[in-house]
Amino acid sequence: MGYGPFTWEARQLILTMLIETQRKMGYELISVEELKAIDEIWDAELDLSRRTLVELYEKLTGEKLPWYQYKEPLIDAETVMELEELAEANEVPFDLVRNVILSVYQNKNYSNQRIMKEAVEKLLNQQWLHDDILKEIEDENK
Amino acid sequence: MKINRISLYNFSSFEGLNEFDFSVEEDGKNIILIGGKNGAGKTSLFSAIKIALYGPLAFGYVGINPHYIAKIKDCINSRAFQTKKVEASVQIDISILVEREIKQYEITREWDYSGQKLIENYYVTTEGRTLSEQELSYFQNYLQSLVPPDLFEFFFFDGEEVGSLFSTRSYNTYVRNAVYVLCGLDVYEIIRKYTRSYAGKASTEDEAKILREYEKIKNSVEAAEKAKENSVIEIENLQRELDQTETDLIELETAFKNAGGLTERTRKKLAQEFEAAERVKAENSAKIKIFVEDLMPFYIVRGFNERVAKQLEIEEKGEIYSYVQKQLNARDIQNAFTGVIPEGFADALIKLLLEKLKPEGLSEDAVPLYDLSKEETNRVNAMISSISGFDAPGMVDIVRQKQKAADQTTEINRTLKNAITDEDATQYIGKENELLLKKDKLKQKLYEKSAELEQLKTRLSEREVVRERTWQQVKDVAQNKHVYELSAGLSAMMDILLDNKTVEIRRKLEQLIVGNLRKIYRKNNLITHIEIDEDFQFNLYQDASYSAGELAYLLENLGKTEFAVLIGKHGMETLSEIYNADSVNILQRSLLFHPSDQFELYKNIDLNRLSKGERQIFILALYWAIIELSGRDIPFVIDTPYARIDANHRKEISEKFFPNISKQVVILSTDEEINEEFYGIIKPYIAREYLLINEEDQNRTTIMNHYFFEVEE
Repeated sequence: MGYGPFTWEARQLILTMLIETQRKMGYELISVEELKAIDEIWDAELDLSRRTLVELYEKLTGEKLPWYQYKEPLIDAETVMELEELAEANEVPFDLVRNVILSVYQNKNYSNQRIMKEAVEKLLNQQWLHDDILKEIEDENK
Repeated sequence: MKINRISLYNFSSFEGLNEFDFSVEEDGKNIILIGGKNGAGKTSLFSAIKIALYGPLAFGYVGINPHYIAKIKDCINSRAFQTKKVEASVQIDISILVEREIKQYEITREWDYSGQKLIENYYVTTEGRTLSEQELSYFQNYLQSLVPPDLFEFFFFDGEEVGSLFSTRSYNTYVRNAVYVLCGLDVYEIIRKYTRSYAGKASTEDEAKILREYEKIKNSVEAAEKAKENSVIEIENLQRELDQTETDLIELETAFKNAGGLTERTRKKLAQEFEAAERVKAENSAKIKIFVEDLMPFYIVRGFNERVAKQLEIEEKGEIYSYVQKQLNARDIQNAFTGVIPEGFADALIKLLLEKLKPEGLSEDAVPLYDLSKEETNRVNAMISSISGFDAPGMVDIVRQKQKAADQTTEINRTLKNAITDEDATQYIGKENELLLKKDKLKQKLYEKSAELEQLKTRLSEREVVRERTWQQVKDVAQNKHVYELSAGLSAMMDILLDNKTVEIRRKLEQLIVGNLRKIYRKNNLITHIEIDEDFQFNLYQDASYSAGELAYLLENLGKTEFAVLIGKHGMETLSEIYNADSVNILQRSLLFHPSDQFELYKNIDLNRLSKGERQIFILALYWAIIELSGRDIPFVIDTPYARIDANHRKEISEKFFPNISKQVVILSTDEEINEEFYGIIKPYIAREYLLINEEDQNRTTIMNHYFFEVEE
């Protein structure tokens, strides 16, 4: 429904296809530098495990990216599962949980606490979070 | 994080520039050993590392303040003050794993003390560039998250002071914060804190109020909409009626015309046309009459014109010729000029003159055909000229116009003759007037209604704007409420997660501390069990045997709370399970009932009852456990490592603690602490060693590249 950034799953799928195509063609379609840039984006926006890209690459090519060994999970898989369960139980979209965690992680080291507070506030006020609620209100009242 | 290098310039007893290479390889050699007798400069080096990394925070200050300035001033080498420019600095080179790379950072703190004012210049460079102010702040905080301020003493371990940790009441908060940060729980705690504080901008009351308001304005918009719709319908009806009236008018006119009726306007127009046609008829008739009576006969014979004109010309000139011929006499001329002109000259002259005068086409025997007078000739020539200048097509046109005008008058006369009677026309005009009046009235009404509609439209759009605004407020309130709900959800999630995590962490920590104590504590039964409660208060236990009877007395004498502390949670759970007792009363009765039952349980020991040495060992075990738990790779710097440790435990610590606690351990020791024996033990783990020597008379530290002793490898 509608436009917007690709979902986390779609991004993984696209990269998988690209790397597979590259392997079949034997021709460089994406450079290591570009993979690094994507990894940075995934870390910043999507990937609590921080290992999705390096492991995906290893699985597809059998090779380890140069920074393979330095990637430590931001949050271990077990905790991610626990968070997913808690999110469901508390009716909080997991995407929001993930975004808030990543945002706090990135901003917690700033002395100026307002930066973090504003970032969290912005995340809580993202429109997609409220679409259903607003639609409900609209159906009832408008 | 690893410290690669530290350099001190005019820092304490380190005069001039002094450098230490702290780099360690991944070969199991993790110890940097720095020896020095008391006062040699060990503690200065220890301070320099702390100050370089943390600045004011190394002394517990948030920013640069007079206390910090005073401390730094004390750290500047005394000889530096004897020079013109008082300068000192510390510089530390560290490696940090940032995201996907190991990055080198060079942290520099320079001091300039001139005019009794100290200025600190703090900067960090990485990959050949200096960090900006914003980056610097971030870096500083990042460094603090790697080694949290709460954990300073964990990694910058001052053996003499650290033993006092547990004598403060707030040690639990201190341990808890450190564990939270090191295990990454701080993120969840921050989220919990923020989501909690995000508490509802929108209360239910606000929501109801704004909804009521919205309902009101919505109804008002609906009313305005209805009024507008009604007005539109009214206007449509009026317009339709007007259209009908106009159609009626056209139809009436057509019917009248078809019945031969002439409108006043048509009559007038016909009269004007008739008059104009009559005028054209009269004018053109006159022109035709003149032509016919005057010019037309000559025009018919216009083919003769040329010949007549020629003949007239010959006759006119022939007359002159005849006359001259008669009058001229050759003899007279010859005589008049005898002697002057030759004989026969006059004849030739006369002949020449007559030839000149004779008109072309005149024969010698011709007689005049017309013999007209001069006046008559002129009249004939004028007629000829009129004929050749006559505009024949123009005359044809005039004749046609006259005919057309005549036809027109005939037609108009016919139309007028056929027109209906005046009586019928009057009736028609009456009806027409009626319709015209109706049309005017409708137009007026339509105009008024249209103006009214415009007003209604304006009112509606104004109300719609208010409605949209209120609707936005409704949505905002709903969104805020949802934000609040989501925040509450997040907060609840974090509560549970943190609870679960801390339970797990406390349990792991309990096990790790006990395990570490076993490794470095000689008296294996001093602390065999640890219980950490929710507030991170530590309860230490050692093995104890009790009979049921003893336990019953303890319970009776101490009361249930103190009893529970004494035997610990583990003890209470064990007893409850054995006796299947779900209350203390049942438990007490069961104990009394089986007084000779024997139990291997635990006995609580008061932390403050431990000796200082025991306490330090416990703390070492705790720190080790925390570092293991966090999985962090952080250097461990320890000053006066054995200050409070008795000889028995020094060996264990040398053997088990230092080689294992971190990948980089910096030990600052006297020859009495790490003595020859312990040096031998740790030697296989030493990456680099230095000896600081301070010549007492010079108060100046010299660095040697070896320790106090030499060991055969």
